[in-house]
Amino acid sequence: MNLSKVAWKNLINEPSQLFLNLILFGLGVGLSLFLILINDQLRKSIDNNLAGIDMVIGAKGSDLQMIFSAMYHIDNPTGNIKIDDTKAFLKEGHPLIHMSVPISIGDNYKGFRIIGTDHTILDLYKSTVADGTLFSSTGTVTIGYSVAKATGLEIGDHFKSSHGLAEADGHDHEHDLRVVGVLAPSGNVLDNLILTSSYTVWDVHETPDHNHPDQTLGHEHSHDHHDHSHDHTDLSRDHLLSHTDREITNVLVQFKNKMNYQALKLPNNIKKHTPMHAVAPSYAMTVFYDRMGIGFNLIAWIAILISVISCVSIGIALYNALRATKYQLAILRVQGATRRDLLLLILLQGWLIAIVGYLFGVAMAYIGYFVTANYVEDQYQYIWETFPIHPAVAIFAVASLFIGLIASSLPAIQAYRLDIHHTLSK
Amino acid sequence: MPHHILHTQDIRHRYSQTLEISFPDIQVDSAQSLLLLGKSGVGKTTLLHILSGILSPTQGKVEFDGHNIFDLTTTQRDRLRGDSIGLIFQQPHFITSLTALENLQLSTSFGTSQIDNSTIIALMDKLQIGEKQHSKVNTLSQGQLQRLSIARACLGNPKLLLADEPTSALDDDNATTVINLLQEMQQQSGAALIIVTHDQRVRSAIDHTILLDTPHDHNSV
Repeated sequence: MNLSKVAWKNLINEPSQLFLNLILFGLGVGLSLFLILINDQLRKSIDNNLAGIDMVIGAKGSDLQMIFSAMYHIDNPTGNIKIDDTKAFLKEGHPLIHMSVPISIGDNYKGFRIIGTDHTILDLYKSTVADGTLFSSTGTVTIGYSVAKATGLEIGDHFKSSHGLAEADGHDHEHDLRVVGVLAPSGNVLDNLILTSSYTVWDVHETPDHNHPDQTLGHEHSHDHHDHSHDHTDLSRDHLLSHTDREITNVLVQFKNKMNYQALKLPNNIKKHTPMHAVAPSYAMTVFYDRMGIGFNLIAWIAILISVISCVSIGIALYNALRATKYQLAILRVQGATRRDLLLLILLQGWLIAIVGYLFGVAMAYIGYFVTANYVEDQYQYIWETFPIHPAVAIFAVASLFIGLIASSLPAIQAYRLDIHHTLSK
Repeated sequence: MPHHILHTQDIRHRYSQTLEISFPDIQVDSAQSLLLLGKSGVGKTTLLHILSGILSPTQGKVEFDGHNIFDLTTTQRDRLRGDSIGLIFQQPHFITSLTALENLQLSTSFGTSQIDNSTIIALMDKLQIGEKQHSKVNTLSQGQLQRLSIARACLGNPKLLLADEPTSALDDDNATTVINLLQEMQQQSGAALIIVTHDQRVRSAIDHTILLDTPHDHNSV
């Protein structure tokens, strides 16, 4: 029988008090850790997909909506833009632009978005083809790593896209799409996309069954002048730009020098002088983090408040227990326990509550994280780390021991100072 | 000073500015028993606490096994009690979250001698509380608790057994049982036994008796 066993037995001897303290402590730790894990994964997902993109051009609308739609593919597009308007940014030789990528947001297959683009998108996201080839002729697609994993699609497989941007949005199109390649895992949004040429997206939306007013590509313009299927094998930029009357959804732009004054002013100039909208993702995401931060900060303060209440609650519980068991502690001294033994006994009780409460909190945080990660995967096809190990887990362990120490220090000091003679004489 | 297991000299304890008790000198050898008899308020418990090193006297010397115990640090005195002194109180108190056996195991953990479980259980059997070893202490009767208290005091073969009113809360039968047990345990271990009590029933069982006087109040002089 050692002091830690006695400390534990003393705690479980008062199960309701122990339960209350564990719930409070666990809630403080759990809520804080949950927020950190979610925030961390969210930022990782967001940062991975910034991919060095300095500007996004699209139809007039909200900054964040455009960023979430064009870069993260979790929102509806703000609309479409004419190729004619984007020419200056898509053709080679712009003095400020290092790379620009057209994207046409199409439909989906089992919730994974089909994006019309060209091969430069792989350079932008620094991705490679793992198996097969990149899409070439109309109707061919190259699928992201997560798409292949989740849908079971393989090279040579045919499938029909579903109308709309999410799985449940609409019906299947007539056009057959054929898988010609699978991308290597990149950890960014390409994992979740089905890439094809803009011509494929246009073709899919020009079939007679397509008659739905929404914001995916081709839905806003008349089908009258293009009621035939394209059969493009020329995926060059010049060829794309020759379709001046057609529309795409966005242009993703990487500047030559992102600190260049003219480059910094370019989004505003586009907004002022063209029918299009443009936004710098770094600016929009700073606004997003600020907005998100308010909510996170509020919950973080609640978590801190719960931790303080928990600390006080443990302290009161140990103090009350000390008052009730003063005589028992004095008897321990009579049997040879030193002042330090009694100090340690009370500290151990505080630490045990802190350790078990911490483990309970960590378990709650990870359960909450798994639920959220599953939701994010189901809804947005973003795959978060299965079991993220964050330094906060270790920091919280040390902090928990510290809180346990603080909570039990006053009762422990009182136990240390216990006057055996007076206690036993009462 | 001749060598006794316990020897006190000129012990006085001041309770307040006006109230001071002086205690008779005590000498007791191993295997001897001594009764300190006195009415309530004569300082019996105070004396017992001084003898066990729990309370420092205002004046005087307590030599135990050749050492003045008040020359030792608090921690050394605590360890000395754990190793060499067993105490029994009128109201036996135990850690209520532990079983009877666990309470005894805990008490042995503070001393330096290693006492295995079989020794503890054998002692409990001897005191007829073996079947209660796994019971929580708050389920034991007063008599069983007092026997458990004796077992706790006797574990590790202490050199001195101190008992504070061990029979006061017991009926005649239980009081006789407790006294017999104390003497039996003392004879087996060769410890010195000092009982402080006002219970006259104990007097006939113990050879040597010292009567404690009413404390001296300075105001009344």
